[in-house]
Amino acid sequence: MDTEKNIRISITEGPLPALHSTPTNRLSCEGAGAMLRFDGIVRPTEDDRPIDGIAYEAYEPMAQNALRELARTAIEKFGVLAITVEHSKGMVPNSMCSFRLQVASTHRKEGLAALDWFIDEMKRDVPLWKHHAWSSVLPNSEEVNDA
Amino acid sequence: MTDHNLPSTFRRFATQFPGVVACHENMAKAVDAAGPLDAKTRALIKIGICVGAEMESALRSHVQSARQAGATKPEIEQAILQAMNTCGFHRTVAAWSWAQIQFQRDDHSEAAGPAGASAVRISVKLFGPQAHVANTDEVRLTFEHDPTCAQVLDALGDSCPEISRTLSGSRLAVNQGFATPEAIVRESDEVALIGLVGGG
Repeated sequence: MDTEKNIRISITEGPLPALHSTPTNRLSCEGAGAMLRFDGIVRPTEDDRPIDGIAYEAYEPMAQNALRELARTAIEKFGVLAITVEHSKGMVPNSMCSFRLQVASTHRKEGLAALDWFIDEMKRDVPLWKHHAWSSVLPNSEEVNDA
Repeated sequence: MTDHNLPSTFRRFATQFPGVVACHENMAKAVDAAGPLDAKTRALIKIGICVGAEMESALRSHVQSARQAGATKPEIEQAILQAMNTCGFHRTVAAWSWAQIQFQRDDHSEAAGPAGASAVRISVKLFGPQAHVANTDEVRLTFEHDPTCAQVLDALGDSCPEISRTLSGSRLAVNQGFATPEAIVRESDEVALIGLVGGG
């Protein structure tokens, strides 16, 4: 199997468009018995405080490489067939999608395990940062929290 | 201050709202040209305003501008001390401490400039909360020999005391990959400080 052909990584400005409006972003994979998708959505509050959105910052070349390496490892470790990763940079208003992970696998179990593992690893090692845009007059937003 | 050295927050804002920033800069030029005060005097006045308003980031920026305009450290410190009876001990001492941080930062940059031919100059990119707290997205360090990553982290702590407490949980990336503390860093390497990340 040519692993590289089955990996797609993109970091794009602003919120991720809905899949139905960008069908080419939908992962397809011949022979897959499970197609899994995780959408990370910006919550309207953080620590009970309302936010307008999250501005994402990326050390982009390293983030691209790190996401690709995670996808390669996930394919080897869990035996999944294909992985597509999309992540936002810049401002993403609340209720919009900032991260989308799609995994194709022969059976659901390895796909679900790979999906969960990938997200944990990404949150630990991939150079992406959040700046919360608080819904108040004074912006005060340099905390890092899980989405 | 070159564009490269502008605070990262300001540059992010300028990217999103270029028209607003252009108006802001035009206003600054207009008030600079509105009377006879020279650049050094204007910078010292702005430092005074920042003391009263407790504006750390702006104060440090104007400390840098004042020195570029010829103000000495004692002159800047005296300008800050003028606030003692007007704004009080707390604000004055806080402002003095912010100026010391900027003095240290600028002195370190100057040392990195005209150092001897054998000096090794390493630029470290900062991101996220660390760039915000340090008020810059790049720190320049100078070493006598090619340093290890551990030595670069130590020097970062000395150069940027604001982020020193975050360094124990941070890693260095060299040429876009995480490096071990023992790894040697060379001048041509791309070096980045990776603190606590938070994608997703």
